[in-house]
Amino acid sequence: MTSILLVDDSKAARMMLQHWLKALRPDFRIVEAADGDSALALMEKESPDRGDWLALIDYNMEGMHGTELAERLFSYIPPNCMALCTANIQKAVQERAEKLGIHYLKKPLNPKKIAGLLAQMEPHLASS
Amino acid sequence: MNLSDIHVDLLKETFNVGVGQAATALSEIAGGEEIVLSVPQIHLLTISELSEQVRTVSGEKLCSVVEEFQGPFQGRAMMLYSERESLELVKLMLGETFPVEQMSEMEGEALCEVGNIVLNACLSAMADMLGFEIATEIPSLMIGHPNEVLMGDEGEAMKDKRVLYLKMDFSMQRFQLQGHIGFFLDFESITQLVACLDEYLNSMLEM
Repeated sequence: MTSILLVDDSKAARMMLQHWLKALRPDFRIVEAADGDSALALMEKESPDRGDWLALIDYNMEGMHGTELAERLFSYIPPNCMALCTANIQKAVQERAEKLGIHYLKKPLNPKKIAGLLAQMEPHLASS
Repeated sequence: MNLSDIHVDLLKETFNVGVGQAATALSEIAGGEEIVLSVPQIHLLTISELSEQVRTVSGEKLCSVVEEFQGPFQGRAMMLYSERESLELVKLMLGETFPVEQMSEMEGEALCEVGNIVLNACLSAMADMLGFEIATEIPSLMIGHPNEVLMGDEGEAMKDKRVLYLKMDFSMQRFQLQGHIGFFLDFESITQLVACLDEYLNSMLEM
């Protein structure tokens, strides 16, 4: 089963993502974290099979930034199955995501943007 | 403070581009609804003067999403609107399909997220235009008398602090929503700001 990790300090942002993801991919298991440390702790506990997970990660959060988290998640999730979803649209941040090989999605998000992103990430899942 | 006409002009233009991006983001949240923007204004005033100015627009109770930022210069970015408009913003953010009971529970979080998106769009565009990087803090929601909101935790001690205030009004006719986006920069940051503007000007002239 495919699982998707949502990391965003905003509860509202996570709730909206949950809402859209449930509609778009009812079979996905959705797991949430509010910051990088709890996301890492969660993944350690889950010890996921690489290839079964996707991740949507915010950039500005307490503690580590989204790009640092993405890098630290590489042992669990390949870069092309992760996306930085952020309101921080500075070139420097976009370039950081690009360098890591992770997707970049500008907030505000909507179901159409999420569907497009999923279509780009899903071919890299082991099950596809 | 020595902000020349060209600096003021350039600052307005940068801010204009920034708020333009912010309006694009807000319009996207509102399903493509047009956002009308005023021309940018720059004022040099004390916090208590600013508070008085804001009060005439917002009334006694002000809502604000505040985000501190740091880069070559530092300051505070704010999205301000009156309390009666906050629920409209929440509805816009969460969309029609959300259950009302969850909506009220999420009100604060949703307002922070709207502010975060709008303010980051503005700051990012300004940073890119001037060629530097800005780090933003996590947004916070403040509700209260303009004095309380603008003076923050430091309270009365802030009253006579002089700030450079950049502001632009926005309105969305369909939702009868209006507010403004404002930045305030510490007086000490103005020198660094002028240096950034000069550098930008020079790079433009070299082209």
